[in-house]
Amino acid sequence: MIQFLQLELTNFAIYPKASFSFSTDPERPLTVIRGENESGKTTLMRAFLWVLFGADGIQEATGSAYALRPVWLPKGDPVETKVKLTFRQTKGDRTVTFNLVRRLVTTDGVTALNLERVLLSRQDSDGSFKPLSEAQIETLHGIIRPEMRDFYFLDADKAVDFVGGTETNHNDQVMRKMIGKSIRALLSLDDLRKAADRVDELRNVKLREIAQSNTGATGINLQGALTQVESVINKLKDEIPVAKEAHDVAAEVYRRADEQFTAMIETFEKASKRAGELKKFRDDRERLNIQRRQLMHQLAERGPGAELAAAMLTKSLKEIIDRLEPMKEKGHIPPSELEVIPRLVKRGRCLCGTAIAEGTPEAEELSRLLDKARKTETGSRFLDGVLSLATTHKRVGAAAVRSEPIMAIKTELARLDPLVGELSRAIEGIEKEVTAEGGQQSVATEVKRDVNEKLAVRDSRRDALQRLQTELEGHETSRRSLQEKIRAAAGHGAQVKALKATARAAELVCAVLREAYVHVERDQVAEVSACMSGLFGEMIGTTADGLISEVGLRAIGQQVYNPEYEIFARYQNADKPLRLINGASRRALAVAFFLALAEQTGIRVPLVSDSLLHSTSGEVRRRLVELLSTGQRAGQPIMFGTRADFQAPEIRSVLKRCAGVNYTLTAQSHVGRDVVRADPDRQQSNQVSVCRCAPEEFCAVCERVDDASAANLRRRVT
Amino acid sequence: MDVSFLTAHQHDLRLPKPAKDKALAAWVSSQPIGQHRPIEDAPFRKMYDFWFASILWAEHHDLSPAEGASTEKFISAGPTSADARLETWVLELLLLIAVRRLKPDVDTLPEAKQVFKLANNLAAVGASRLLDELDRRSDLMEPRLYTTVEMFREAAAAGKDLPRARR
Repeated sequence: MIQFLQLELTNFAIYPKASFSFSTDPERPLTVIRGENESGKTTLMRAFLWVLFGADGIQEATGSAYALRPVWLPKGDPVETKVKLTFRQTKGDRTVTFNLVRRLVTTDGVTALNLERVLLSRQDSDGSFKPLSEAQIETLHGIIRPEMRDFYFLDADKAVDFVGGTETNHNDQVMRKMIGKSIRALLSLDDLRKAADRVDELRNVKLREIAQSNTGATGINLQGALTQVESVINKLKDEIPVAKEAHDVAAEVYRRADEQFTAMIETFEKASKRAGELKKFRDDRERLNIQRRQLMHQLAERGPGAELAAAMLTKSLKEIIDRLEPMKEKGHIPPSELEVIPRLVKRGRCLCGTAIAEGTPEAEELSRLLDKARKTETGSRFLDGVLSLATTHKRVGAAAVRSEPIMAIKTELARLDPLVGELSRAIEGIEKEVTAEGGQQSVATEVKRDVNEKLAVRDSRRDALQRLQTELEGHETSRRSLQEKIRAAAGHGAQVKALKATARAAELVCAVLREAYVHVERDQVAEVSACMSGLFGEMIGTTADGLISEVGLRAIGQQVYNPEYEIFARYQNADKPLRLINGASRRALAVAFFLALAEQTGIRVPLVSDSLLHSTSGEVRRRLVELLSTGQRAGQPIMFGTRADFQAPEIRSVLKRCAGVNYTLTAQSHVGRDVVRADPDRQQSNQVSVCRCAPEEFCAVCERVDDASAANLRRRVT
Repeated sequence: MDVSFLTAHQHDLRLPKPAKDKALAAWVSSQPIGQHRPIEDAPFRKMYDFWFASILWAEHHDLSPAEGASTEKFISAGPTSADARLETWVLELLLLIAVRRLKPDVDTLPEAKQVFKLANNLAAVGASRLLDELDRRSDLMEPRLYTTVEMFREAAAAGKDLPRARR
């Protein structure tokens, strides 16, 4: 059971500061709050809704603080609005008191409501209040449930909506929605339904898990895949050695070819060095050959040269000399007479003394000899020359035999010849090598190409081997994975079985819960309906609508689970459309519905009703007030109404009997009109003053015109 | 003594064809066609060197000139650029040989024509003898030049002792 204890307002709309205590007397559980129009009743209701439900509680001002900000403050002035609700919860013999404070600082009416601060405190055994965490604040709505807001705070408009609206503005859908929500909230069917839904969700979760498990390969599929993989592995294991051998062979072939080519290259390099030697040897040999040729030519000139030729002609030359020398000695070559005779003739005397005069026989002889000599002069001189030549050449020949220039040449040649021979042999040897190597160089290109081809073969076989090895590794990994999966699948089967069992169990539980839900709801709704009908009959009595034989709740549609409900009224065994039911009856229907729900569910929570007595009068009003005033069904009734609502004596009689606490709200803005005087404690004219006057009382704060003269009112002395 | 008169006019130098061919094939370095042969293998640089060596050989051995031998000209000696240029000592020795052989006196000097005729005749008889001697002396151990020079050298050394061959 929940009971409101106190509501304190600070700077809330038209309330600068107000405090309300609520009756908790079980004998007089009613709290009456009287106020005329615009006196703050609805604002007070709004304070309840805001402190309990925040912005959701004041839907018409959702999002802005317009409904909360003090009306007397100008825009821009910051002010803190605060509402504090003290309430208590009783479970069994345990009672705990709570303070709920909600604050909001505004500077204008458009401040967002979500900037509020909420504090929930719980009274400890020592009497102090300890604040609860934000998470614990959420438990408040587990106690005072937002979906039951309309059940706790029922105003005239809400009551009409529960029966589908007014006569001229009727909407069955609104009625069904509100009734359905209230039924399910108060009958605890929501919990049952939610429990069924939760179990159903659990079942769906398990089914999804089963489905996900089944999307993997089954044990049989895995085994088949494993067999395939092992077959591939075995095949690869056979192929790899063959590929390795092929690679090794190709590698060896390449290695040898490369070695051979390398040796060839080294030979070429060596040959290039040998070529250098060859050139040197050739140059040396050429140089020596030049020397030899020169010497040869020198030798050739000497054999037979002038000297040797002369030597070979020694005897001939001797003969010539032997023949001509006497002639020379005799003076015939050259002819000596050519010089002597003319001299003698010139001197006129011969060497023997004989005078040689011209004309003498001696002179004539001399002339004849001279003529003769002159005639043979050329020949003589020729022969003289020949003699000279012969002598010269004989001498040359003799010297040639004795000199050794030929021997020197031959000695030098003898020295050079073996050198040339050695060089030639060396050259020949190198040339053979170079020739052979030169032949090889011509095939080097082919060898290199062959080496490259062999290298390509080796690399190709190496790549093939690596591919096979990589493939084998991959398949071995796959095999390990499949083996693991097979092992997991073996255990997975049990898991799936467990999941299926859980899902089946959940399905059964869900079905049970839902069936229970259906039955409970149906039974409970039937009980509510019956109670409602009784309460309605009790409220309406013998009015025109008293001819309505039955009212109640009923499910509509074919849906068994979570059906929609509506309020019905039967008249003469037929449904009477609700919109044709008068206003008072419709209000009575709504109250009957709430009270029937409260009675059937045993919920004892405050029922704050505002202006429910409008459109009712007489006995209907009295019965309504009676029903709303007692705590048997309504929990802690807190009733808002006007003077007129509470004016009738029978009403006042009930109120006097049932009301434990009374308040009167007086709008200071009414001062000078209905209100006689201003509250001396007021700060602004657009504020509300609160006094403790009962409906039959008035005081200096709430006195209205004619109160003093009213017979049914008395002045309350403050 | 000026012996240039001998080549004041052209004079044929002649050899018997067999001797000339053989000399050309084996003993003469200068070849009319193709590459010259090495001097060590063909010790006579020119054919006229071989011709003169033949004359020397004939004179050395006091051989009788081959009168009327069948010879053929291989070159001429003379004043033109096409003629063989015989060295002075060669002309001198040819003259001396002619003087010895012809025994001219002061009135009967040998003419150049006579000198070259005698020379050709001596070459004709000496060439074959020379070739024979050269062939005899030739061996594979030494270049022909060496053997040829040695032969002439021996001939020169024995020249004064060589008995005169019959004319």
